[in-house]
Amino acid sequence: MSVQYQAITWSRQKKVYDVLLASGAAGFLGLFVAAGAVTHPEATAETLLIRALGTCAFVMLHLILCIGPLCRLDKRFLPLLYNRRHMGVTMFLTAAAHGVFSIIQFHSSGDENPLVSLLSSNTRVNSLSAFPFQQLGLLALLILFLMAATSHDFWLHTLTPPVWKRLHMLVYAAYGLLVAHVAFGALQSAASVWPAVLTGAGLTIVAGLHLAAGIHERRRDSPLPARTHDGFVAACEFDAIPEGRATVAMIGAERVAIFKHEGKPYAISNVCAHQNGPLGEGRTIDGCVTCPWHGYQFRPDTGMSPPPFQDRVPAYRCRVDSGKVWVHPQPVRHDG
Amino acid sequence: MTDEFYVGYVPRQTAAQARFTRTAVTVAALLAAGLAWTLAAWRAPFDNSRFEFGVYRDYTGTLAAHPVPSLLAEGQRILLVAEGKHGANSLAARFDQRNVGIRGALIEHDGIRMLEILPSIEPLGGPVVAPREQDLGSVTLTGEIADSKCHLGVMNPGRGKVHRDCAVRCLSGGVPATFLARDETGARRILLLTGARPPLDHVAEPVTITGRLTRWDQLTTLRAESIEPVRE
Amino acid sequence: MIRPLRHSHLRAWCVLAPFLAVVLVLAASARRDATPVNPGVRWERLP
Repeated sequence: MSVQYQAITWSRQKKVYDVLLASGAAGFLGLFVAAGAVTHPEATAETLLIRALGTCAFVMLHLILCIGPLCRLDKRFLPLLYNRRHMGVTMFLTAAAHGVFSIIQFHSSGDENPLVSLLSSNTRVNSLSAFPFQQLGLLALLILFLMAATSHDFWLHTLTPPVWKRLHMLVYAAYGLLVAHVAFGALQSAASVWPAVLTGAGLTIVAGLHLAAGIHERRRDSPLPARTHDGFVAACEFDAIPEGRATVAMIGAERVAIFKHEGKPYAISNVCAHQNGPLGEGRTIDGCVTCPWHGYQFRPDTGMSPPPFQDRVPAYRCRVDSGKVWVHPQPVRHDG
Repeated sequence: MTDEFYVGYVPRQTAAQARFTRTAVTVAALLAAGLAWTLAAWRAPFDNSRFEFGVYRDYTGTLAAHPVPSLLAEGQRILLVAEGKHGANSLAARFDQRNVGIRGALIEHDGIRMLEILPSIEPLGGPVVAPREQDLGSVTLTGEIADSKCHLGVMNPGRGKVHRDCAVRCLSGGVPATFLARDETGARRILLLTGARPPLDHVAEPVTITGRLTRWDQLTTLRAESIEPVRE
Repeated sequence: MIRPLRHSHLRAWCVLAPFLAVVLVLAASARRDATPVNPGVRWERLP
């Protein structure tokens, strides 16, 4: 798809996703404020709202961070990934509301500019019990803003997928800052130790899923024993590939998806041109390899998107010999 | 391998995929609902304080600017602060030891009353009532410094780590300080901290104060001679 | 060539997971009661 700014195209599934997302966030806020008002009738409304917004954003960030590794471990989670960016933007808006209300509540109407007050009221960085936590939240919010602002496909194309993905890996830094923000703020003034235990459980789930998915991916990246013939590398058994599907093999240092389409083998890069999704986990639809992440399509023989789209992925020469698929590690050049 | 395959722009998911997605979303929603309720219920502590936000009433009595702005009305000493994170020191200084009429919104906690006053103070005639003061001796106490306005009810919780920056801003703006301490039975008492401005670097954390306790009408003040942070 | 990018997720979490666990434990264990009991003080005994 070409590099120009266009509004998000709405499909039925995106609408369903967004309705569920909006009602989920609103339901969480409503339930939190109601539960707070019932269990602590003496609490002020602003306090409950600030807590509800902060907790909602933090819980949503956990969900967002779990979707990626869950999809690597089980493809059935992919519908949650399809529109994850909308959840990211919703999370940023919720966190921003928490930040703005907190600045109004704790720093405004005083003898100092609220932003100066935010940065200067607590400078006890050498103390564990008094450590400034609000600045950690501000830093995380700036990262989340950068990510929400560049979440549209326009930025993905402009920055190129690898750069964009690296930029969006900053969400890990934002998560780390927010764990510290919560640990040095809310958890240190909580009456019980249970909120800290729960935060630890959240961290265990998020980190555990990422480590499990990372190890799973690394195993799949072990290089094949180099059996070559005429410069071709033995990649896989041809009969093991189901029709319309692919087997992924390490050719050199990169993953190649070997598809069987109408009984013949085709090898293209496993890396989708859109968001670097795993093409080899997709299937052919209408004669085109279709990415499991966002449905981007490429022709199996040339690696080019069907017109009018102009995306392409590297395609490789391949042939079947004594039951094996042999792939040439040098991509084919297609001009035009 | 099944032929299940999800494409986001296709209007409907296959039946098996739709079932899985529904289950995943339901589990996430139930988990989120449980967390919302549990965390809202856990997140304490709250004080039994109140603030009549936006409800202004008329009060008359003798105003005292020192040691902190207050109004002696019907035998009760009521503390005075300005709007926002500001003390009423400059306003009160113009009416020290005079009878006045004041409009203010009530803040109350543990029998200590405070007014967030409007800037229009009306001078009145009549005999000025003198304060009843009694020296209670010297003490050394460990407890927490907060700003009186939030602590007495404008915010709840109006003390503790999360509220720390707000307390710094209020104290810096001239709002009088409170000192919260427990006796050997664990009973809490709010003392009005007077004397030099408290160290802003050590609010909302345990500090040991040595000073003189004074009964000031129905309030108890602690005039600090030394304030030492408790080591971590 | 996105293998380094793919593996950078794992590397990031190998660092982040233990680091955040330490932060959480340190912060939680540094929690302190700002209003401890003052031995020898009884409010009712004040004159």
